Amino acid sequence: MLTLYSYPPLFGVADNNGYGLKVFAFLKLAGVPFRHEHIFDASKAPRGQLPYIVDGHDTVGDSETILGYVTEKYGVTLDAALIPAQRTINLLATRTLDDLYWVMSYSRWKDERYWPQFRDALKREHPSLTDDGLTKAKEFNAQRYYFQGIGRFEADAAMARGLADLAALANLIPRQGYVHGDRPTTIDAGIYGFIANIYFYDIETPLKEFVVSHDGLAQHCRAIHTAVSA
Amino acid sequence: MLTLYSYPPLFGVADNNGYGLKVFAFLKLAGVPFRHEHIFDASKAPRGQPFCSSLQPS
Repeated sequence: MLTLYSYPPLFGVADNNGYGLKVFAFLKLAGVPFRHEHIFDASKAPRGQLPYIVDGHDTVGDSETILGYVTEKYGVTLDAALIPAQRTINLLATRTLDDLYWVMSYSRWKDERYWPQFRDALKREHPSLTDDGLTKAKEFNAQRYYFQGIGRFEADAAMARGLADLAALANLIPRQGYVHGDRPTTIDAGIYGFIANIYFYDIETPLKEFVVSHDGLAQHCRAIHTAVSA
Repeated sequence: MLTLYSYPPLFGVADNNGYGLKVFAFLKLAGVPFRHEHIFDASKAPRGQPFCSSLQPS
């Protein structure tokens, strides 16, 4: 059976990382059975990044590559009916989520207004984590943010960038149903991966305030959450 | 007059960095007059946007 290796849960969400939660939700929506191994140590992962899957003799990293691999190997039909324009939207939305990733991560590890709450939640739910380890991770992330660019933004300017991403995503979700109609497709799993990691957290960031106050986004998140929690 | 500070040209393109060229093209399309200063040293830029002496992002 396929095994998904990804980061551990937080606040009742199956993976505290958007990319891992995206793969988790995709596998659930696709009905592909899998074992879920939660790890913190990414050193054995392809490119040293989580999530990855092991399926028979294949080890596959990178969430988009994983989705493509599983779709092909298991004949997943979630996106079978999509037209090229919809696939283009999916690519643009996926890249928007990549941008949102950095802002979310910044809000957890670098924005001093929210870092203490994030740190305490991690320690509460994952007592194996040490202060020393978390401090090292915080410093490592600060380096990542600086060289990526978001780390050069003041906290409010960084959050503003994420709010613009969220506004664009909110516009993609119709009043009823999912991005491409009455049934969820792969992009809904992708959006859930990130939005759930904002919406279900007891940390009142500007990002969460936005999601909570936009019914479409919040409802979409709850609907996918229900669908993948079974 | 507005001054745009951005990376230098390459292959006849007004800025070899996509973000700088975007601003250049926008100003031209918008008809806003500006001076264009081409620099490599980003140390005086807001946020010092990415530059290091041996590795120039493009």
